Amino acid sequence: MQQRNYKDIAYGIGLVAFGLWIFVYAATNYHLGTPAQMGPGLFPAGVGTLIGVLGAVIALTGALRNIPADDGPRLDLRATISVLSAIGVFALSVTTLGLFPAIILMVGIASLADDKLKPHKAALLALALCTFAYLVFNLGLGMPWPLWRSPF
Amino acid sequence: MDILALFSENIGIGLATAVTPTNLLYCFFGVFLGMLVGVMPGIGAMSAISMLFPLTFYLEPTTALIMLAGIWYGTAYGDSLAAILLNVPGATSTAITCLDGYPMARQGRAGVALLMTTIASFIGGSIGIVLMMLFSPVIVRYAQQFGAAEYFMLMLLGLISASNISNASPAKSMAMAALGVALGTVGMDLYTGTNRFVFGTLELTDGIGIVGLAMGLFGVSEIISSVRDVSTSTIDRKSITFRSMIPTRDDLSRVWPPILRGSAIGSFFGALPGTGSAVATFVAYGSEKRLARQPERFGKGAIEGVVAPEAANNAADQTAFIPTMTLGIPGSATMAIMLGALLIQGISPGPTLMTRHPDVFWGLVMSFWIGNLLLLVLNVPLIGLWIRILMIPYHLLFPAILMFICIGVYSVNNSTFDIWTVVVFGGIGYLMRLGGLPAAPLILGFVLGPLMEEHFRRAMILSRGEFSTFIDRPVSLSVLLLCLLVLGWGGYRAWRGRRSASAVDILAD
Repeated sequence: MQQRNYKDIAYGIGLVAFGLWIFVYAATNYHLGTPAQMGPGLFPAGVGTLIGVLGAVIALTGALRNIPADDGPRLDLRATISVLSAIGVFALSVTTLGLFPAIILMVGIASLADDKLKPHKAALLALALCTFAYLVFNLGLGMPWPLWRSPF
Repeated sequence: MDILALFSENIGIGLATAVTPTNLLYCFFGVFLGMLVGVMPGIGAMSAISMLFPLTFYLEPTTALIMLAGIWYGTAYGDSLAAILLNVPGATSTAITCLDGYPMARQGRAGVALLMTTIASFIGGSIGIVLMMLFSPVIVRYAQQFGAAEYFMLMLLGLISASNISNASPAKSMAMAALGVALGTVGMDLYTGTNRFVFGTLELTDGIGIVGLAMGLFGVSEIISSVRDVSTSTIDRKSITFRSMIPTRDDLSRVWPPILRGSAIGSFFGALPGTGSAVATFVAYGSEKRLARQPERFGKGAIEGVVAPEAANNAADQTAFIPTMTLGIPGSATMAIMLGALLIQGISPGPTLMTRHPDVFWGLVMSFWIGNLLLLVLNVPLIGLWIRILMIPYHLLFPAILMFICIGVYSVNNSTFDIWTVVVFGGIGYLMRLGGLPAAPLILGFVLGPLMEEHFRRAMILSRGEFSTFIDRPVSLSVLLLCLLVLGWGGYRAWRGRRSASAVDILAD
């Protein structure tokens, strides 16, 4: 029985779309020029085409060849969201609230990725990391970031 | 005679640069930190390097280079340690160490495996360094005649062979390399001053930051996929004592030929563009197994199966610096990151580096040796510390790693934009992991992309728009043919391989 590799098909189509977008964007927004006098758009347009072609190869191989799809890692939505938003919150708070609040918020959100890190342990970890960051980055390397800051 | 005199003169220049108290201290820091991060479970050498290299931005170029070399050694060794004790390889090149290293650890011979690994790495690395010292000047002499067309072709060969000689499918790897090249075009075009793909942001005019890109693609995506996967294992700490490191007479009689063979294989594959240490370790293991009198011992704790790949790994890591430093063409993702760090320091590796800044070049070479030696010295007494770090539960470790990533990337430009780069590429990197798309070719493409565009455009200007310039020049033509050969081989492999038979399997068989 023919078994299609839907993951490869989806990723391949995604790459085709992205390559096409690069090509169109580069060709319409930037000057292409001639081979002897290449404009800024020609090289990106060429690379976009290449990505599209390779994406098509990936999608077609997934559709036509009977290769058993390896399951691979499964999407862990909870870990993804908490890890990425922990970094995002650090980015938002480090300039507005200061380094310590940024670390505390980050550890708090990151601890949601996994059940193993209980709140009281997360609090201790945040405290330890704040101390470490203060000693190493502030005192040791002399990075001039505010530790606490009023957002107002 | 002449060569010998030149050789010792270069050693002199190198030692004078490397052996200053400051440089030695930073080399030590580099090795120590590299091992510290490399040994952490769930962090491979790539993530460790991308996390640590912003630290070197504060230093002056030579010291930074020396520290980088230390970091690089440390992470690679930390990886082997985790592979032997926990059976968790952090990189493809250490995957093979697990095969016999972990069984040795389970037989209570972890101490011997660790000591012999260190010695094998030292010998492999030393042989690689000597080869680098001998061949770099020769290559530089040839490279001075290379024009834009040759450079473009060599870089293309690097990308193509990196994509075709890996575990992933050639189409996927090449797509990722192309994606990396596309990401490399973001920012101001050097020829015309046009801002490309910046979407009105000021920060992107300098291009996407390599620190954020690498940390996102390797570090963050690795954390997301390990958060609930890595379980803490317990290691019997008492089993690894100094006494347990003493090899038996049987061990000692077995290890030398595999170490030397492994070093030779590693040196050869490391110097080829795009192949790197992963292939070298697989071939070294395969050939030891074939040469062995009792091949059935392999996989059950044969010491030959540990030392040969480790020697090959370090020799390859070393000779991989030859194309990176003499031509400015990195052969692997690690080398690409090293090249990125050098460019940030204002050093552009290539034929002119050795002639104009011999102190930087030879200082780096000598500091490799010192780093190698420090590794040997640090490893044995600190083994207890490394094991303790290996046993830190991951749920306590990953928030700390996230903090280091955030602070590290923020410290480069004091700009939160770089932290957002990490978020975006962390997400993309995780998506790529799920789809089986390798991140290493992307980094390589990202670093090589702008150089390739520059050389391509220069070649086209010089030839007045004639594409035949790539065929008319003999060196360029032969590299082009080599590209086609590798491409054809990759295609054949993909077509033949019903199951995911990798090049590495074929080579190791």
